[in-house]
Amino acid sequence: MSDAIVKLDRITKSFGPVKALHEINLDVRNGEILTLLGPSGCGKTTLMRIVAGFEQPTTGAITINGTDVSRVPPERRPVNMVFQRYALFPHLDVFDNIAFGLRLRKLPSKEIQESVLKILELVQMEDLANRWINQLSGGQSQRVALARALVNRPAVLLLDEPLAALDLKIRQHMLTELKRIHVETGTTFIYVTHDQDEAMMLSDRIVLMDHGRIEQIGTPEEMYAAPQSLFAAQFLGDTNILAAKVTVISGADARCNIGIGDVDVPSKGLKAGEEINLSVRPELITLSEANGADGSLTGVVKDHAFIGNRIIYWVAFPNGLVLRCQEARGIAGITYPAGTAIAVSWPVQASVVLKL
Amino acid sequence: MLRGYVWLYVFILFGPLLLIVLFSFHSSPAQTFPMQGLSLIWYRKFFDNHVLVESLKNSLIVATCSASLTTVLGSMAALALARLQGWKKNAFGFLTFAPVALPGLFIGVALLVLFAQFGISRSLVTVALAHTLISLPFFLEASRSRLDYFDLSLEEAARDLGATPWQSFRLVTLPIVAPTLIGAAILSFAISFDEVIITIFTSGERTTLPIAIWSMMRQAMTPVINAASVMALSCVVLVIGSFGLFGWARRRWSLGQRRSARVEA
Repeated sequence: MSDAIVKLDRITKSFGPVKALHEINLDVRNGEILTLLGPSGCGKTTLMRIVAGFEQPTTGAITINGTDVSRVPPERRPVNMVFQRYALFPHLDVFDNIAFGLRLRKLPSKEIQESVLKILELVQMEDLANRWINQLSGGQSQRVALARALVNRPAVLLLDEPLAALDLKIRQHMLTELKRIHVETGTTFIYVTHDQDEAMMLSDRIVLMDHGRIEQIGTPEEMYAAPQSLFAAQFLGDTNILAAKVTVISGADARCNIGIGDVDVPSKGLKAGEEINLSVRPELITLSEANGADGSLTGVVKDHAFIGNRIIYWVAFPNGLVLRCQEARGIAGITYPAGTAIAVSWPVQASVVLKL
Repeated sequence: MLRGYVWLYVFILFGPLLLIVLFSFHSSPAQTFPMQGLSLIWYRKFFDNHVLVESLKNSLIVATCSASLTTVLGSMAALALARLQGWKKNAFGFLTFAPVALPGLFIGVALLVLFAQFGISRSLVTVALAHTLISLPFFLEASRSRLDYFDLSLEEAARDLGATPWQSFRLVTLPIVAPTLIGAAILSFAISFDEVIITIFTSGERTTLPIAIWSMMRQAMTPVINAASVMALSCVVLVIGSFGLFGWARRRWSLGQRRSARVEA
């Protein structure tokens, strides 16, 4: 399962003077869902288009299934793509859209018929084979686009922000559908999105990109719990970023000053006097009624938001720092109204050290 | 108010047309109301007039040839323009449309000089070439409005599914833009069919229907001219109608084909 089906070897891409990709090295494992995640302009779409064959890398090589395809045109690559706005052929009906690739391969019509019907069943569109494309809803178009790509049994399925054009409800439903289809077909997915929730829900591994570089690669949990850069910490989920200075190292812990007091953080790789950033997730912060105890971090609840299953408190400190804190909703509901003096604390492991 | 205006507008647009059609069936040469009776006498006189029938044929030949040539050249130019971006698109878009603003007289004389330079004697060929030149901007403008919105990712989707560049053009681009191109082709046909000024400069001994009618009118205003004009009108209407019918029939046919193929399987 873990052998690489796509290998990107030092891929760079320039558009005139603009460098879109800097030395990308990436192995895509057979059968996984790999997400290219990042803000718009980070190079994720360019990278996918290089895999599809629509763009040529400026330097570097791309290997699919052990074959160097760097100079192979898109029609002869064993990959198929689901386009952002589906790109379904408006002059053909659902059946002919899906059969397009099979007909180009000159398969016997009986075989085409069977394959199309089977894939329609997979995407649950059996009844709509004779529909024209303009008669389909967004979700249905999405299914047809998926079927049209998957029917060719690609080694890798490329999905370019496939859910971006759908409304929230359908988007969530399609996400679970994508997972089901992935399991049923066992195809490798490369999925491009700027939406972190989609990436977290869907991916086996996430490739976080920014400014044409890979920032970090990891499972959704690794990405969330152990970001390696300020960008990664802030892009995935909500977090508090605290400027800190290491004061004392004592064994596994390092004492840091964060302006409002001292906290202990994991000392690995730190030196006394070093300036660092800390990332502390809101849900790992514990709130308690202020009792004036020595060394506790005490602030005042500035505002709160009731999200349903969780409650967010913004706690302000005398030096102007505001911490975003989060509690699961309990029976008591909002326990700390605005103005309450409050003490915050978090375990040592909750502080993720980000080197400057 | 608005409704009244619309009717007035339509009347001014089509009133003269209706009048000519009406008088072409008048049994008397008088072109005034009240009408005295209906007859096909002017049509008979039209078909008896060798010069007029010959010129109608010439017009049809010239319009068909120039519309075909315009369609081939214009389609390629329009597809190329749709792929250009930025200032190049604006510049070429302007250059291709600018000839519309040139006076016909100027183009006519310019072509006359050009043909003389190359020793090309004037004939229906030179007329067809001249008509191609003047209908190209219109063809481009009529087709670009649609082609500029052609979603190029459709071609990428075709390539992705295994089509060569040529296959993706033939199986995806062409079928989608064909109705637009046919519409623009009909427009070119109509432009060529009734062109006068440039035709005068570029035609040789054989001439087109508008020129024949025009020279007839210099002698006397006879109702045969009405009949000739109606014949010209019918030709254009027939071309537009047959293309429309053809498109409709083809859609029906391909739909039926597909349905029956599915039922068998």
